[in-house]
Parts: sequence; structure tokens; C-alpha cells
Amino acid sequence: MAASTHELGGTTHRMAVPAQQPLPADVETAPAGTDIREEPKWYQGRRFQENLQVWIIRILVWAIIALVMFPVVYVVLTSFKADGRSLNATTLFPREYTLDLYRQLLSGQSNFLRWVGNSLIMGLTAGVAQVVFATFGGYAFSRMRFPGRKHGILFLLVIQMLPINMQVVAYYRMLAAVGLTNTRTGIILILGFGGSALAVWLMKNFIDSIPKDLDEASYLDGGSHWTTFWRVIFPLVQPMLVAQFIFGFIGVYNEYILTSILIADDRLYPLGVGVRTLSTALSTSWTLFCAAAVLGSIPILIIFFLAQRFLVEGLTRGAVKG
Amino acid sequence: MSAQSHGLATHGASPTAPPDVPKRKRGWPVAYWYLLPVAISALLFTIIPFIYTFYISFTNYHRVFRSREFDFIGLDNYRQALSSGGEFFPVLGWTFAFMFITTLLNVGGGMVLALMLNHDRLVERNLYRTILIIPWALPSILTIQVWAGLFGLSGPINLVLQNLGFDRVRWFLEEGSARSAVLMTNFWLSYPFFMTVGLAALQAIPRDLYEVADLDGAGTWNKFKDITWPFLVASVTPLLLTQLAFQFNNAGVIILLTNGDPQASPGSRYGVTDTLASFAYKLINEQGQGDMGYAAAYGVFTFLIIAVFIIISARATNAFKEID
Repeated sequence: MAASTHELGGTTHRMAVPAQQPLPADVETAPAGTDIREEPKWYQGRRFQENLQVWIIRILVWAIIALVMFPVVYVVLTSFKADGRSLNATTLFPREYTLDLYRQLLSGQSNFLRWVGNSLIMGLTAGVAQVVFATFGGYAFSRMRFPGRKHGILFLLVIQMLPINMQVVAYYRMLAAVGLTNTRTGIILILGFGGSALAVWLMKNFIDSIPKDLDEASYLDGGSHWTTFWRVIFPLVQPMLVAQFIFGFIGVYNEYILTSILIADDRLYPLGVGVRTLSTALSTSWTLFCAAAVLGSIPILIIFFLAQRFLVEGLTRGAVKG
Repeated sequence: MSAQSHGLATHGASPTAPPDVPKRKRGWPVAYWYLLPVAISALLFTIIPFIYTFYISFTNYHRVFRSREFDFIGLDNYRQALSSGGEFFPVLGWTFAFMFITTLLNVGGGMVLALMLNHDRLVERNLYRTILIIPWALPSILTIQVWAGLFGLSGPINLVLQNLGFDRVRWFLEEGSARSAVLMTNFWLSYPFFMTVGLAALQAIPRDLYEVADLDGAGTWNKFKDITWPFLVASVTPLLLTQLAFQFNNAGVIILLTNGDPQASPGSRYGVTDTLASFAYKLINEQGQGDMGYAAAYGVFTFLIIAVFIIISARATNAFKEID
């Protein structure tokens, strides 16, 4: 944690230093001479100016929040709507409220709970797989020297940019060859076990930022790469492990293109693809979609805010080193 | 601070290298065991599919789920894409425009918000930050579908516009408004990340820099120009390349929001909001299409463009130089 802010500050600090350099000489003379005489008037002016600024900012931020939160408020209210189920309504917000839509989703007469289960199975497996791949791969790239390392990293960089959805034909044919089309396993293989280049790259950069002196201490104790990995690296990369797990999970949760092509059976859809059958313009279940969107968002929202620190750090610390 | 960063910069290279070298030489085959999972994954799910996609792009393979037979047709798919009536160039144009405009909006908007929230006297900053971050915290696959509904012809946004005395906007039926809808939705999805990164960088600026600047009589503008701005830019710059590449491939928002519509001209296969990635999806998935060979050619084009993009930007910025 601390190392990351140091690092961020460290790199940028160097750029800002020149502005600061001429100052130390003035520090001792300036306050004595100027401040005492000019302070009251100057202080009042600044205070007024800052109040004005902060209120302008406040009002702008309120306006932005109103715009940004409009969809959220609208969907939550619509999910309780009792009068009319379609998207087209004469009033923005419902006139009557009910819990019927939620009851309908959770009662089992819809596929909703099945979709939730599918998302959980696919997401959890993919999350674990991404963590394992990223940790071992990132450790090797960061700490070991071996033939092919340099080109391996370049290769990782290039393939992380490759759009996975451009390769649908190939994925379909491969899954067909082993009889895994239209299965959750097929999606887990491609989304969870494939596409780990970015995760490895972020993990490598994260491990790079751990001081090597710690490794040295472990080697001096007679540790091998393996014991050093578990004793030194593993405890320190845990924020990143959390981040990678969540990226893996949410990656599968949010994926639409491959899943919608490779899975044809709507009982095997993950949540996000499943509710698409409710949300399209021609659908008469818009309010039901809103309820499903609320239920499907809450867990992700909670996970996000619990792990927010790790997610931001994982993304930025990985990239800053890049 | 500067001594510390100096230490960080060097510890990877000289001081630790000598004792480390024999260990590494002795143990290098071990590295491949750690890399085995990634290597297998890359081989199975990236390299083989990529080669196969390349191969398919020279065939007339059609309809993903039925036909098993197809013929080698050489460069016909590429010729078709690049021909005067082909879809490639118009789609490519919007793909690039989308990539640059959306990145500019998202990064710029996030930075402006970060600057606003960073005001010293804004004591309730964290409350606003928590609210403004919500679009990022919600699953985009659901929120994009919500936006698709909001922009509906008789949807809530038009209802608000009507109540305010404006005309309804035919969001997904006209080129300009459909493209604006895509950019607005994507902004809503992406600004929180850059706001968060920017704000974290601004909050990490040592206070004494400003105090010293005050003592030196520096005005608001000079403090911003010489302290705030360099910190902000340094925090966001390393993320730009990834963001550009991500947006280049970002088909999900387009498929779920507009599905590439409206059509470029009556009967054309692509729409004015189609990017290369979303167009390839439509070639594969839409009813009556399933033109896999042609879609694969678009995959190859996309790969080549991205590869060139990476090489140029890596050269220009030195961002990916491996130092150790």
C-alpha cells in the first residue's frame, strides 16, 4: 500500500522539483517582510474567493451527480412499478409500487435464479484460475531470468491487446472438437483459463515493486524460489490476488459477445446475457428487467466497494510501472 | 522523497544483482514450471485460435453451427473488405474516431472531476467521490442495457426532454444522435476510473509544495500549472495506451446499446455506430449472416492495426522498454 503511493509520488515528484528549488532561500526572509503587513486584507480576499469557488464546485458536482445517478434512481424505482410493464410510460416514475416483480424473479417461474447460479459457477472458477495463472506467471517474469523472458513479455503485451471476440470461429470449432459447445465449461475454459496475459502483466509489475532485498534475505536463509515465493511474495501480493480474483469474476460476469454466441441454451446463460431477453426494445418485460438489473447489480456493487482499494491499486500500480 | 525514489529506481539493478546471479543461473529451468499454466493457456486459447482464425480468413466458411465443409478462396475475403463498396474503410473511420473521442472524453472528464473534488475546502469530498464512482461499481453488461432503454424513442430521456419543452430525439435512428448516445454511455461507464486515479494522485501531492509556492507568491494559475497539472498528467499518462486499445476493441457497449444501428444506407450490412469489433460480431451472429471467413478477415485486420499501434506507441513513449 504505502510503497505504491511512494512510487506514484516518487516518479512525479521528480518532475515537480524544479519549481520548488528556488524557494528555500526565500523561506526565511519572505514571511518576516511581507506577511505581517499584508496578511489581513489578503487573507479576507482569499477566504471569500475560496468560499465562492467551493460553492461553485459544490453546485456543479450536485448537478453532475443528478445526471449521473438518474439511470440508477430510475431503474430502482421502476423495479417496484405496479402500473404497466413496458418501457413506454407517460410518467417518469411509477404511480403505484409493488414487490411483485422481485417475487416473480425469485419464485423460480423465471430462469433468473438459474442465471445467477450460472454466473456464480463461471465467475468463481474463472476468478480462481486467473489468480493462479497470474501469480505464478507474474512471479517467474518478475523474479527469474531465463531464456525467452524478454520476448515472452513482449508477446504477452501483444496478445493482451488481441480482441478475444475476433476468434469466435476458432473457439467454436475447438469446443466442438471436444464436445463442449453450449456448456458452461466451454465458457469457463475460454474466459477463465484463456486471456490471462493482462493478469500476468499486472502481477509482474506488482511483484516488481516489491523490494528484492526481501527475496535476498530468504535466499540467505537457504530458501529456494518456491519457499521464497510462499514466504515473501505471496503474503505481499494478497491485495493484488483479491484484485485479480475480482477482475476474473467480473470479466466473466460482464462478458456478452462470446457467451451469447457460444451458448445457445437460455438455461445456461449467465445473468447478464439472460436478462437481455427481457431488456430488448420489443420486450414487454422492461420492468422485470429493471428488477433483475437491481438484483444482479447489488452483489457486484458490494464486492466493488469492499475491495475498491485493491482494485484501484491493482490497475494503477500495474500500469504505472509499465 | 527524492532519495527514496532514487533508491527504488536502483535497487532492481546494481546492488542486488551480484549475489543473485549464480542462483538464477542454477535455477532457470524452474522458471518454466511457474510459466507452464500461462504457457498452456496462451497456446490453447490465444495462439492456436489466432492461427486458426488466420486460416479461416482465407476460406468461405459460412454459418458457425451448421456447415462443416468449406473451400479455400485465397484473398477473396480481404478483397471484398477493401473493395470500393466494402465495409472496411467506413467502419474503420468510425472505429478510430470512437477510440480517440471516447478516450479524450473519459480521461478529460475524469480529470476535471478529480480537480473539482480536490478543492481544499470541499470537506465532503469523499461522499461525492463515493457517489460518482457508482457507475464503475455496477456491472456494465446490465447498465448498458439500461441505457439502451433510457434512449428509447418513448423512453425516459425523451420523456424528460418533452417535459422540459424540447423535441424528442430519435436517438438510435440518426447518425449524429446514435453516435452521441454511444459516447455518452461510454463516458458514464469510464469516467469514474480516471476520476479515481486522478484524485488519488492529487491527494498524494505533498502539501508543503503548495505552502512553499504560497510563500513564493505564486498565483493560483502558477500553482496549478507547475504543481497540480504535472502530477495529474503523470498519473494518467501510463493508462492512456491501455485505454485506447481497450476502446478500439470495445464491442460490448456498441452491440448492447445500438447494435451498430442505424444502418449506413438502406440494405448495407453495417451501421454508422459499428466498429470493427462490433461489425465482426454481427457478421458472425446475426440471422442470415454467419459469414465466418469474412469475419475472420476483419479479425486479422484488427490484429494488424493493433500490432502497428503498439509498436509505434512503444517506440514513441518508450513505455514498454524492459529495463532490467
